[in-house]
Amino acid sequence: MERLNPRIARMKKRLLSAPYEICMARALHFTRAYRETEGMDPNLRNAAALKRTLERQRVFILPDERLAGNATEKFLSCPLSVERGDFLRTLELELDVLHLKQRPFAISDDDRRAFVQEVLPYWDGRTVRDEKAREWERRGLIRTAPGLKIAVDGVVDAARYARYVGRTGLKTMAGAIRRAPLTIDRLKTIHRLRFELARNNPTPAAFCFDVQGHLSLGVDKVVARGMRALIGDARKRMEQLLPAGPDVSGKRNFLEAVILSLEAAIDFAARHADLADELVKKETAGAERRRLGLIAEHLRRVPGGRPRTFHEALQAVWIALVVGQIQYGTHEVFAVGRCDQYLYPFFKRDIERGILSRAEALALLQEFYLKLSTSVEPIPEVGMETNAVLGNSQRCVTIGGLAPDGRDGTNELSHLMLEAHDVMKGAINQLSVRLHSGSPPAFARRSAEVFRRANGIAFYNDDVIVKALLSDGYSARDARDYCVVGCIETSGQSDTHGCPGGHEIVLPAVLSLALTRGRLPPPAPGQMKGHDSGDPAAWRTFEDLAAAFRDQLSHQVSVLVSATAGKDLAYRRMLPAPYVSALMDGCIRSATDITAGGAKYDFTSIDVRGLATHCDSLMAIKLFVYDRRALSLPDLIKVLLLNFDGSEALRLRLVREAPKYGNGNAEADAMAFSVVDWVNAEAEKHRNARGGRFRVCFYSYGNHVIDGLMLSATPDGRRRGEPISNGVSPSNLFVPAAGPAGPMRAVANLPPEKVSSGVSLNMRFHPSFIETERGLDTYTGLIRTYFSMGGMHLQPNVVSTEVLRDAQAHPDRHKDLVVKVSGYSAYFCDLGRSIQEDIIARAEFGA
Amino acid sequence: MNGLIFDVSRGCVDDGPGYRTVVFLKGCALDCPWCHNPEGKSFQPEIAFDPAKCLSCGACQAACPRQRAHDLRPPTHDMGLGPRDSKPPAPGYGLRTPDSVVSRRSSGVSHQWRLGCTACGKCAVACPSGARRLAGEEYTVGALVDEVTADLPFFSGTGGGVTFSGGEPMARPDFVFECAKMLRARGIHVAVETAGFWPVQLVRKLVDGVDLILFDIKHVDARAFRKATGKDVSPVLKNLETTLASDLPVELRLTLIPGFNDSAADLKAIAKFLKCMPRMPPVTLQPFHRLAVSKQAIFDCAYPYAGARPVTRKELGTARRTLAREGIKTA
Ligand code: SF4
Ligand code: SF4
Repeated sequence: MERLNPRIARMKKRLLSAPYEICMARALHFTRAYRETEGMDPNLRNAAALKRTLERQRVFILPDERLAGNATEKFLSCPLSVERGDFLRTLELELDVLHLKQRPFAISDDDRRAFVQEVLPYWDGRTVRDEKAREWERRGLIRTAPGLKIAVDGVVDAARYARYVGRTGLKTMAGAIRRAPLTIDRLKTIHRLRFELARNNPTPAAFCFDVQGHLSLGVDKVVARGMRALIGDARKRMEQLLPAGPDVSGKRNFLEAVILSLEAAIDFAARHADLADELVKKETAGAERRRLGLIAEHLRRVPGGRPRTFHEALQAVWIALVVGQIQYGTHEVFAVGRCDQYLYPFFKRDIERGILSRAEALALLQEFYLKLSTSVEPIPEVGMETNAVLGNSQRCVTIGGLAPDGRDGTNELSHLMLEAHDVMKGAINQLSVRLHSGSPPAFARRSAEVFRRANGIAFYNDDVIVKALLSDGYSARDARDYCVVGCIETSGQSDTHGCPGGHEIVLPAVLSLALTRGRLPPPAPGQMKGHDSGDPAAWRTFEDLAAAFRDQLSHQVSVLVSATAGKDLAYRRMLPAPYVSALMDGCIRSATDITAGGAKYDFTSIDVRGLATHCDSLMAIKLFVYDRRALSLPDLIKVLLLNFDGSEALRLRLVREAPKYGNGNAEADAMAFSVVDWVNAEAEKHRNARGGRFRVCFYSYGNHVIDGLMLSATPDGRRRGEPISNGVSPSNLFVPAAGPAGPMRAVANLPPEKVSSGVSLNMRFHPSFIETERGLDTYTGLIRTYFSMGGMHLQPNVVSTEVLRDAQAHPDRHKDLVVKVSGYSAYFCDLGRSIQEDIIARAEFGA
Repeated sequence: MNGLIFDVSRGCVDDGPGYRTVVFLKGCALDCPWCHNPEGKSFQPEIAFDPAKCLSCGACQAACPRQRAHDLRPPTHDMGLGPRDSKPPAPGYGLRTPDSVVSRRSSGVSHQWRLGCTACGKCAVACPSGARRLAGEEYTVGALVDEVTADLPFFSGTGGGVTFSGGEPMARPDFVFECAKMLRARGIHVAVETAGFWPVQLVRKLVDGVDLILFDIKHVDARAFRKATGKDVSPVLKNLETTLASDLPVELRLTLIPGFNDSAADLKAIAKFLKCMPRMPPVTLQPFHRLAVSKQAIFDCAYPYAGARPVTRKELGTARRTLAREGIKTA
């Protein structure tokens, strides 16, 4: 393996040691631009704001950098999207405690003042979030204006809620707030924030956040054609607009906004070129002059023109991404797509011409990876329990897999990108590796081998995913050219507005509502009374219960669909995305923004959480209540609400005796199949506000932990406050006897066309699992077997001593950790303390 | 034909090639004090009791037809039922201490049976927490084969299969051979992990009946071997030699046990013996681990090696070099 290039090592160190900062530049420019353009077409307003930011935001070039461009004026920060509303509220609440966060953020006094005096007052009532809330009120999804009645209810609800989630849950949720002094003002803010809850959660089981984004940004087009060619397309399209056609002024405005945005991006790049030229003047050292000179040369050429070299192409990708991030703001989650495919022609030509060495290409890729992670999000403190702050934007890179023509597309660059990840020890959060039955075995094995040093690779199965995408209506070529967005979402490359993020259903909460006639979890102030799906005492059979659950689910999904429509309309009216649309297939042709349905493919995903917890709960009820008749359903519900207090023996029986999903039990796995089927049937009943279909995905980033905090005990034996299961992985409550094959079999059994937006299976392995060559072969074979059986996705984790230590401190979080003991594998947490110590001492033998 | 099995462990990767299911058969004629599977020694089912998991609910005692469940616990553990009825076992009785060679097994029956427990397993069924568990379940050949065949795609996808371990699987040769026959008929690779202490007449059937032998070498010196295991080493050496004279794939395992086989002289003796063998398959050198520490309470047995320090990385390296000097390459 190659050593880390010293330049990259310095840059990596800079990234990992830099302070997290708040940068108000974009927020201020957007605020001012929007203030000046009130009443204008929303596309043009957005383009004007982007242009203003790109023209005025300070640009800089750091030492060692060969790819220039930064989305903020600080090294490690993020462009705050105040116009959306979510981060506005977070920052408002946490402004005075930023330095107290688990990972503190610095904010300058000027920025603080600008935020309080200018940004906040302007956006109050004008954000997408406010518009979304108004739309929800119109649709009767949430209650209107916090009047006296709702305030009184709020207090009652708060008390009920506190009782429901318990003390520890409340404390964790309060996060940093508990460390900061509670002044009257802060209490008021917190109180206001409780009202905000209903603006994310129309019900306790459904989330609809203020995000769109989450798509594959068309940087491949910038590389293949250059932005000027796209401007040409837009101009031509403008000429073709019939003066009497429908909505001709809207279309014209959109195309104008596209042109403005792209030109602003080109000028933004030129500003970097100018800066580089200036820096060159002060520089005497030859190498530095060459570095800066090259930056200047590249950024005068791209992203306007087509890049000439591999280096220039990477620069084009990066600057196009930066502009995208500035346009969309915080948590844009723009995937980079199939770099190994669209950059390969440049790589190949440069290598052939002898102007690029493998080592240079490797270092550039590593710098690129570092850049992809250079972003932090001031996520609310409670989110810190579950989420990464650094690199939170999840700029997913996809490599390997089928080419659009159906042949294998794996190439030398795919290998090099793996190697870059390996040498960097996994600097980006997610490198997505696509495999199919015809993938080169060496590539599959090499990607497995990278785990010896670096976690953070996920595997995707083309054979299954392409079929699922075909059933979504993709053309064969587009389906084969899919890439991964965000965590695990499968999407066409730069042709899909898939909205996979932010619309979520928590299955165990739906079940809890079904079991309590819609009463629990208690509604937050502003939420409507829950839906009564019948009296549990009256259910004679398990089928009765299943029917009631489906009724409750149907209600939750229709609320979520309506809420999503409200959000999407708010986006269309207030925050279209002309820059992103310019790079998206279909938008220029239809002269329509993505938020209005202009993309070639348009969907909304419903992300479902807690599959295993839910299935295990159903299995437990079935066994104990209906088969064994050990206790009545109302009695079980009582025990759950008491958090198994005094019923530990029953709890353990529920955990140990009821069949579990992902543990080799055919009935429990079949239950998961039914649940997926039910969810999908509900999703298929609806269309989104742009006319697109609803797809279903199962992943939970870290939110299954927060869901757990807000949920009482569940029938599978999970206690109050404990996390629910994550993605499609089995629950952490039990020690799986079926080995790794258990979850793999269960997931391969799920119907892919019904989860076409993606599933996430997380599995952990001890490094010793792959430390020998034989182990590595087995590991690779395991993944390929799982795929040949129909598995879609696998996110393996190979853990280190530190994790083992953590597992000792928090065994509940690591129940699934497999360790090789001596001649057999065991679950780490199942072993005694002294053996654990022994294994920790031994783990080094593998090195 | 039945086999007494105390564990079926899936997803193992170092008991032969590929993804493997390891079947642990109960019972072993040797009595190694360092054994990490004390429940593999006795040929009878045993009740394991883990006080750390016990809720003191009393369900086990209520379920026990002989009212013995209550007695199967350390005297210090209070199950909320007051003092136990019968006297605790006399010191040394049925238990093994470092300076005693009176093992539970060589006393004929485990002390549980002496206390009047028949290992019927009723208490384990009644126990909600899993604190009480029956180690040793009778399997028919058909039942075992069906159960492990569920992982067939994973075996064929990784070149894996089933490994019979123990205890000593060759103490139940008919069961193992019958299972192996059926598994191989289904295309599943079969390995046997053995310490080699079984009648020399079995070797032909073994070599013909399985795909791989994992041969555990403890020592080649008769005195050392007898002192530790209570048995004669010569059948082991004979079996090793005949096995290696066949063309069946064999892997050797050598576990480095402090004070037993880790000195330079011991290793040299082992190396010298191995060099005279008909062929030299790969040797895997493993360090000893105090794996059974947590099991002493659970199985109410003493573990003489509880205090032994683990083998360090350095010692392992030294041993590896000693063997290498003698011409034995280790993995
Ligand atoms: S195994 Fe049977 S006899 Fe022994 S303690 Fe349990 S219930 Fe009693
Ligand atoms: S039944 Fe289990 S938990 Fe209850 S006292 Fe007996 S061993 Fe303990």
